[in-house]
Amino acid sequence: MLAVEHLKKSFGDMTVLEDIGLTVEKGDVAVILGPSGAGKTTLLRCLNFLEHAEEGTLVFQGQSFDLRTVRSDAIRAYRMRTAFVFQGFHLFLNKTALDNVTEGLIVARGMEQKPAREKAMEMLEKVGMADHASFFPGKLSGGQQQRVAIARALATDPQIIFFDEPTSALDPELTGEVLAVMKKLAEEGRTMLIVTHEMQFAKTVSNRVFFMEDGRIVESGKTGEIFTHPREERTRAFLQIGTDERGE
Amino acid sequence: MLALFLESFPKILVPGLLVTIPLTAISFALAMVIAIFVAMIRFARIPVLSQLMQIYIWIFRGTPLLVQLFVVFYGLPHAGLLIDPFPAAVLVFSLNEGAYCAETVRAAIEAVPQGQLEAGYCVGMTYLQTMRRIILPQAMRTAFPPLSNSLIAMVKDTSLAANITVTEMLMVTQRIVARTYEPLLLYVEVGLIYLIFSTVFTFLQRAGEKKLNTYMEREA
Ligand SMILES: Nc1ncnc2c1ncn2[C@@H]1O[C@H](COP(=O)(O)OP(=O)(O)O)[C@@H](O)[C@H]1O
Ligand SMILES: [Mg+2]
Repeated sequence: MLAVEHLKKSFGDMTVLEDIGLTVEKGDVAVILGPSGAGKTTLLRCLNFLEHAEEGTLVFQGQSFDLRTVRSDAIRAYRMRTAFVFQGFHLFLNKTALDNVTEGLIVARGMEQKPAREKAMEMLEKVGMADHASFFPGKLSGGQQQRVAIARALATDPQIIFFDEPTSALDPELTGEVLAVMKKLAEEGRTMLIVTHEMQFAKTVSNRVFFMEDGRIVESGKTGEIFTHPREERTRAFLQIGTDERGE
Repeated sequence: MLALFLESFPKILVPGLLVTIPLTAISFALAMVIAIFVAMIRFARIPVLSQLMQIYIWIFRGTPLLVQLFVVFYGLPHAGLLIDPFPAAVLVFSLNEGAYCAETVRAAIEAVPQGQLEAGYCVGMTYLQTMRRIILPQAMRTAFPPLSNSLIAMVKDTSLAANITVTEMLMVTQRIVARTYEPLLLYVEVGLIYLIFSTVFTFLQRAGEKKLNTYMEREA
């Protein structure tokens, strides 16, 4: 459903992503693992055109984009079918939780107020935030904000949802509530591409792993295989450290 | 003395209400439209247009308001463009104020976190939709205190319009002085009326700020 080939991205003369190729199938819960600075965020941002990759092609549901020449109307049409959950939530600060969710429906998709609000309430219920519908982001905890952000992402029925370290900005005791929501989405069969450092979550919820280092995808494969016998020394080292750190 | 004060008070207040306040209100409203328009062009760094706007700001902030009034009212007729006093004053005040406020609004737009625009894109909104619904409302909240200060300053600056024959408060006062030879009393009196106007606007500003603050904290 989503395939990238030969993606390249630099900031100035520093190459941050080199010859990236990855494929996500419908229903996949794919995780991108790797040390900080590997280029995970940049890759995800390139996949939703928040950064402009200077080379590569992207195929999404049979439609092919040349990343060098893609036009802004094609980008918008693509974004209508995808969603993004940010590390820093980025809820609209001047909107209530409910309005955060309806905005994409009413403004971007021209939906009527009433069905949009019903849909939004349904999504807030799904993430356990219906009772906070009238709250402004400033009055919500990080975990609550991120759950509203997930409701906002879900509301537009995206074909794929990108998550960039959705729990990294949260206090440890708040990560659980967000991961629980994401697990639920995985069980519903949603297609997700997730950058995360939550090894336990990656191991138990994902079915596909991409391991990144220094701007390249070093290794990729089925979750079970990568976690039991990774081919690459670097992957093994990283996973070891990853589990040690969490005292397992 | 008291009799003159009381007799002249309504004579000065009426042009205050009929000229000074409308001149301020119309000019400031137009200035806001100009400011938001210019600020968005500068923020989006639209080539050519952005540079043109920068030149506009440079000229209107770098020359005296009184000179701008003279150029438009006394100068332009020589180039065949005759404008009545009141519209000439509105034109100059709104362009002048627009230049100052454009920079205030632009700074406020730039202070809105980048993630707000990106989040707008990611739910499918266009640049303009995100601007209108998300970025500008947040920016205007930040810009509200400095903009209301500009408004209060502008109430006082409209007295300059007397120089291009607009019969606003100061012009009317000058006429009464010429008739009665009581400059101290009358100029203090007109000053007092300006003070009343500024005080009312300051009060409105406080109320406005309070409203904006509570609106974000409704579920406190
Ligand atoms: N906007 C930017 N400008 C310049 N360099 C950047 C920018 N964003 C990221 N980088 C650099 O790109 C590299 C990859 O960053 P990032 O994608 O954030 O990594 P990760 O998410 O894996 O930690 C880092 O070296 C980082 O410093
Ligand atoms: Mg990152």
